[in-house]
Amino acid sequence: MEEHKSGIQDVELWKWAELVGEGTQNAVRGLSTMVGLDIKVVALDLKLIPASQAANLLGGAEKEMAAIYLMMTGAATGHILLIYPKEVAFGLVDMLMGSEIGTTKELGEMESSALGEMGNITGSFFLNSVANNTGLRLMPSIPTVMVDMAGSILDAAVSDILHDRDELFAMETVFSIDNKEINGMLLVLPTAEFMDAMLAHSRQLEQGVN
Amino acid sequence: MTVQANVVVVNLGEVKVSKDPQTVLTCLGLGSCVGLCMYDPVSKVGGMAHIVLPVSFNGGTNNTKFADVAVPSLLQRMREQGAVRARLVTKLVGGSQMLKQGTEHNFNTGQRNVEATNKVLSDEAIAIAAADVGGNRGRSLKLFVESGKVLVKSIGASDVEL
Repeated sequence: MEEHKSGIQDVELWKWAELVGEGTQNAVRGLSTMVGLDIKVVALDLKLIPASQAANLLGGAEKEMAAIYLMMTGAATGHILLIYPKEVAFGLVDMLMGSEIGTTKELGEMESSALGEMGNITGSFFLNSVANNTGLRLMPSIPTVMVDMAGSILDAAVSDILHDRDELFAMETVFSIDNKEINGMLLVLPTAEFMDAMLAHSRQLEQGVN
Repeated sequence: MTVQANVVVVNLGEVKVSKDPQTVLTCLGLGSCVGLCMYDPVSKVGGMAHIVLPVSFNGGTNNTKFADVAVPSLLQRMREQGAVRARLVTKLVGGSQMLKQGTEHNFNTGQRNVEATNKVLSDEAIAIAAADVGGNRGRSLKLFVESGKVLVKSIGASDVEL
């Protein structure tokens, strides 16, 4: 059985991917209900990447993106980012606010708040699913909405994880809206502690020990 | 005739040094990270570190993602290429606060990175010639090895010389 540098074995990685994948599906369902559009997961991809390559997750460190960032706190910590190209985020704001597409040209307080709410829903649905499958109590933080270079958006989450290791596990999700594939992405970046806690709790649940 | 520049990206946690005049060292999309540039205008050696975190915990690591390891490592590699400490022009960029102030997920990593880098430089008796740090925006940084020119760029703005 292959063991990764982080000490996590393949079988555990798959279990983890299953838990996060299920959480992601639930998060996208929540998002779909909130915006009243048919949003589907197109691709789920678990990645293990060297820290130095983190910005490649978003297509390059200088690429301008809009992101909603949440930290997961409680039994363990981890990071959730909902990321879109800027124009897509503006389109989503228009949909949320019932405006004609193309109305939003920049993110003011109201627009950021609408996107933040989208992050809240996504984060809560994700963590509810994780809680159902593991019994772990996790809470999302207040969302931060950013429009900036991809590298700078990822810095906060990545620097937290890099305290004690040099690689990142990332669950990357691409979804479609009304059957139109967009480059929206839900990125889940767990700390080592978070992965361990999820795996341990899910094993306990499977064995019927609570 | 324009000579094609050789752009070398300094990724998270890396330290790179060059004395090739065609080389441009760059850190892309710095948020809370700090880009540290050093340049010796006489030997024309340039170096850059992409610092992710302030201090290594166990003290024994050789990982240059930490300010307290990256600064001595950059100095040593500059010296190996012929740079002289007393001539070094040192510039600091980044250390932004990308997340909301006052929220529980605000680690102040940007500010702590700047403070730690300043402290290690001060301990090494290296003066800082210029800095563009703090705020809440991302930055990219370029150091032209031929001239020592440093350019800083943010989204929606053009390059500014530091």
